[in-house]
Amino acid sequence: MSDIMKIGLKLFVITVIAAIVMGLTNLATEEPIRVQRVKAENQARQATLPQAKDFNQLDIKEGTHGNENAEIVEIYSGISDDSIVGYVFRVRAKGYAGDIDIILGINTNHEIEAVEIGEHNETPGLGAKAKDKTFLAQFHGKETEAQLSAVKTLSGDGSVDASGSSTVDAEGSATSDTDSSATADEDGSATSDADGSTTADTEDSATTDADSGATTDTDSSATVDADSGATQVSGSVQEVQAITGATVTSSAVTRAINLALQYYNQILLNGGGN
Amino acid sequence: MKASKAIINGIITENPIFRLVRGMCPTLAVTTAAINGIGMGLATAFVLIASNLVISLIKDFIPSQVRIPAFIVVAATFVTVTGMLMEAFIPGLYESLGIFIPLIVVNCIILGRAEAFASKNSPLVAVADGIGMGLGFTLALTLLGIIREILGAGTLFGMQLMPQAFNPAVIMILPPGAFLTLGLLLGLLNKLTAKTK
Repeated sequence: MSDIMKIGLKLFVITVIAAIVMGLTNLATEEPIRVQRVKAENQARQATLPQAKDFNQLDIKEGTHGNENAEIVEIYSGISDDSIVGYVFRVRAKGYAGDIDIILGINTNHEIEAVEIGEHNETPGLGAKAKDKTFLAQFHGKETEAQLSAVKTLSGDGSVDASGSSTVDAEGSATSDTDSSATADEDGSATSDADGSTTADTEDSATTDADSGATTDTDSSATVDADSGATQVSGSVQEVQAITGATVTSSAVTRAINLALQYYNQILLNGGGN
Repeated sequence: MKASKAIINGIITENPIFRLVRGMCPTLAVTTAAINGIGMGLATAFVLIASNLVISLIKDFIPSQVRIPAFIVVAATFVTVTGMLMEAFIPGLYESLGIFIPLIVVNCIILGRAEAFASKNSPLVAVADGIGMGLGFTLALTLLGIIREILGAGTLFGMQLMPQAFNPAVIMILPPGAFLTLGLLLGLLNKLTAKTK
């Protein structure tokens, strides 16, 4: 019995010393770590909106966070010399393997300033390539009023929804039920059918459907909008080249960015910033 | 055992990966690129040296019945303290090694050396063993990382190495690639050393 007590006491002494060492270290490092983290977060925001010197967190309007596929986590207004120089969104997208953290800056010209990927668990060599400049740089300078779509093959000028609408046409419009698909058709279905149908294989069409936001109401953007057709150039889609072999990741990122763009157009631009 | 011999022993004779086949979890998980191998290896080496030293110093105090929990407490304390200090004062390094640090504590090479070596040897030799084992671990992880990165991504230390026409075998940087590379390397080394005997 006394043996057990002795052994237990010795182990207790070891753990107490360990606890003291860790406690003291924590005491010494708590403040520097907090400062470091704030600094790192500010740097991440500044990377997507370099013109801002300071950031103010904004409240996210009730019921507009998104859904399980894409969700707005934080919104900041970027401040420089007492005026707002843009907004930074932190959006979470459901990727191929877990959540993808996306940071997105929008400048006062209603353009995407930059997109950065934070934490993610995507497959190395495939989905993880979403962090590469070649993929992310495509978003830079894109206008906020049109939705984005990740496609396997860019269609011509890469600015209009050629492949988007034609895919829907080719596949039969059962999936696309709202008004915007109609507008898309008006944009000249002859041309879009012509060049779009070559790229329209089944997998692609699924992606484009989910991405075009305005066309499908299962998509996350539907929670924000309802009246999006009125305020947006409906059906107009800007294309980005998806990462080869990682369509799911590409569209997840694009979908999350679309959610932020919609929030920006409908709430921030209509004075709902605070 | 002499200190210099302990170092050589860790790097070659009893290399933790290729000879002892210890610490396979982090080995298989993090060697997707050469730089990860170096990072994980050096972080482990640091903890290994520190825990070897402390365990060797307090080896007479630790009752043999509870030595394993005592070793784990020592190793976990070092890992935690290292993580906190790194994040506070060298954030750049912490950012690149951050995810590996908590993994170190479950690396059985730490516990293995505490049990098999540090608790039976003098502090100086225990530190030498930590250095040797740590470097041996680092070299092995880096070698695995180099092979997997070249074949699986076509790059080395992040720089493009293979020509554009080279189509990387993505499986090499996925978990099966880790098993393939490790298995083939073990086999190769066994064959080479068997011949020289």
